[in-house]
Amino acid sequence: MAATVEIDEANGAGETLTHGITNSNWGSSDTVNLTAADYPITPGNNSYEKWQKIHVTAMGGATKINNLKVWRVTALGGSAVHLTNARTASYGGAPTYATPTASDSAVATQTMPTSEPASANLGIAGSLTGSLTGTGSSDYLVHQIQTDAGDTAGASTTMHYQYDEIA
Amino acid sequence: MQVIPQVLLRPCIINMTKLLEATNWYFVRDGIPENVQIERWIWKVIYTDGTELQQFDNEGIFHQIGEVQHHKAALFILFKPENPEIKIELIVPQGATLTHFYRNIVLNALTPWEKKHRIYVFGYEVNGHSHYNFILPDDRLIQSTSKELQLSMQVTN
Repeated sequence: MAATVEIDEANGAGETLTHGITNSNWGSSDTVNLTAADYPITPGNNSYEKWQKIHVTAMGGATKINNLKVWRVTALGGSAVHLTNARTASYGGAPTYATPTASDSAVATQTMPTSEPASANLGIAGSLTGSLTGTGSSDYLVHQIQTDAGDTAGASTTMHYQYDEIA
Repeated sequence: MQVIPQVLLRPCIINMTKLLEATNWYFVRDGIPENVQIERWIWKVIYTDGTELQQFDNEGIFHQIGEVQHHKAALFILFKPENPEIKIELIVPQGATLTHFYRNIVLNALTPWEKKHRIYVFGYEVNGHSHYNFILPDDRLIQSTSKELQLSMQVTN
């Protein structure tokens, strides 16, 4: 098989890690795989941060996994913004886990790209040129939606990601 | 907007008829065999002395690109295992280092519309010059001197 990859998410003060999450919905709760309708974000408030990792669970003959890129598509409602720690320059290294917050994130401070970045924007072992040579995970991808009081309810956006697999 | 220097080609069809003899392949990592699934496009390298190494060989062994003896490579071939006549040949310049990897693009991740695409990338680097080929999911071929092409717009949601 090819390398096997899943997305994991950490929640709570104890960094409870859920493997192979089934959705990445933001909401007004620090909850994994949440139903958006159960945790609506009041316009003007933030979502809770998402702390997620790209996790390689099997190499499938590959030597190396690297060049991680994440971005999103489709417009957010009103003037809402989607912020992240992912970036192609001045990368801040691997963020140390902190309990997800609905206050303005201190880690997710740059706008999530809305098209494929020109180069890696999520690191491995703290570096954008890092790689996995066995099973393991990327740095945390931290991201948050910050809304404005005039924003429209019901907006959605979807995430894309990419990685290279050397075999 | 990125300008992609590209040449769109279709793989040429020339004589290469031998089908793979194995049906399962494995790679031994740290003494433990890993099953490796056959790919849509696989490589073979022909050396200057006429010998060859095939990624998925006829004994069921999976070979990594790191096993290739670059200094004696003459021809690098990507072909479709179910129809080896469909192939793309790359004449390897003397002194070149071969490159081969998969670029995996996951669109609409974690939604009911999630779609995974695998792009086959191969080429070489020599004397500061690089040449890369990208085989897209629909078998179009893009050629470039950069491996950092933004290809997500070339695949469909």
